[in-house]
Amino acid sequence: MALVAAIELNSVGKFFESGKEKIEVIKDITLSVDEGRFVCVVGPSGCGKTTLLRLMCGLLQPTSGKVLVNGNPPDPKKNRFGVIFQEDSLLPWKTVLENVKFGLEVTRSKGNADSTAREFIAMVGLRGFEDYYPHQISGGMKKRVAIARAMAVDPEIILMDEPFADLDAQTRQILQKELLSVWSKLNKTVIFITHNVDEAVFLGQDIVVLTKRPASVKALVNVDLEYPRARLSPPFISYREKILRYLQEEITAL
Amino acid sequence: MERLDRVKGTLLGALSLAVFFIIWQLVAWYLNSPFLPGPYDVLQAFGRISTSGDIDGYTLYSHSLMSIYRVMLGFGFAGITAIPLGVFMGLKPSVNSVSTPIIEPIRFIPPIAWIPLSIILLSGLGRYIFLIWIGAFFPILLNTIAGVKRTSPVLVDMAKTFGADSSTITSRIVFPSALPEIMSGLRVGLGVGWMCIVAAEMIGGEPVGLGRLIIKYANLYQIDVVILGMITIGIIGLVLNYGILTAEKRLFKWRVEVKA
Repeated sequence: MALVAAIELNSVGKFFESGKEKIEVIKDITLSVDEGRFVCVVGPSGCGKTTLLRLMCGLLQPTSGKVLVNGNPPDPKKNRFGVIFQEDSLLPWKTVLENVKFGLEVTRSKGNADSTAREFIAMVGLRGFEDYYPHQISGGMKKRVAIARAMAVDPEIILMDEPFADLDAQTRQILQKELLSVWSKLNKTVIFITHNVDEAVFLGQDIVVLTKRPASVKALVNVDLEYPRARLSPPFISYREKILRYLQEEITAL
Repeated sequence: MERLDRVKGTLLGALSLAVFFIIWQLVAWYLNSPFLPGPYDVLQAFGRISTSGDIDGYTLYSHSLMSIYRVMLGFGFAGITAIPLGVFMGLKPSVNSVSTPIIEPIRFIPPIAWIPLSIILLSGLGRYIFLIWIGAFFPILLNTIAGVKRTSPVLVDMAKTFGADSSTITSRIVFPSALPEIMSGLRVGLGVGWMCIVAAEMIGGEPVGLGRLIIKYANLYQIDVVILGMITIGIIGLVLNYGILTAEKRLFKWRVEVKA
């Protein structure tokens, strides 16, 4: 057990102001994630999952409470984050190789950016596609590039915001498996946001279920299943049903 | 197949040009007027002006070169001023709202309307540079602003999460992402600038320049040289435009649209 949690949220609240209105998006979230854990965050759509992720990487500041990453408030200039967005976040004017190098260059990572980038491109199975432009490869391959770019900077934490939501079911399942294999090799802390319960149970060691907006923690579920998980096994299904029930309560409690 | 299509296209283009020249020649023969020379007369004028020069001794080549030189100076100056200002205005909405009331009305003053003022206030090359600058500046500025504003916020967020500072974001995300718009602004700006120079030279005092060539020979009622000047202007404009288009295709091979 690490002395300092990789991510710690202490009664975090977040308001957005639009004109005169104050919208409460996050309400009193307290959460602690140990280093190396794979944590999935699920919640009803529009509940503030993305806001939570942006708070964790310092793109947003909490209105109240504290966010700590390895003991300090998150600051992308000091911390190393590997963030993977739902939308396509590759630079369209750069090749696959240049895109992966971009993160290494901006973070001023040690070592040879070129060889590190190639290594991670190979790890996500894209050897041979180094010189392709994003418009020449598929949506799933673009996600792989984004994963390679995030992993290559040797991040303290990997934050993923519904990264596979736009992909077809088959590609999504393939990428889920690949993500787990990369994660088990690198042993990184992962926060994975999704609205897909099946995905959460397949990937997460812990699942944080959020309430509807303003989001607070509805339940914490520890998924005590070995990897790789079988989707049709009874315990898998019972975890799924449990989470679904929590979500159902939130959706019907409108 | 594609190559065959291209050959066909070229042939068709050549044919339509030939038909145009034939009709022009026929009309010229039919009217038999000193005010409508045929293409053959213009061709002869081309030979004359190219080799022995005009009444002041300047060849077509030196007229063209002078006009291009003036345009390039004004155009370069427009690029140097409009692109940074456009990036700045696109990034800072407050700057945009302060400068819009000044820039918007000026934008609708045609460059030609600036000619008298520039003749009074400036001299020599300065006038021409100013006029080209006025003409080329706004297309470049507006396109740059539009391009900067179109930058995808996800790309900016992505760079931020890697700890990029604002100058890195501007140079490595915003600028390259706005570059296609900037280039099309440059292309339009160069076209407008080219059209302005001719008008400016017609009024300005110097004896060299394609605009001057046209005016000189219009005063002499030698319309063959006037038409020669017009055609030269058209062809140079075409070549300049094509040059930028080619540069665009080279630069933006990452864009799906330019691939074909």
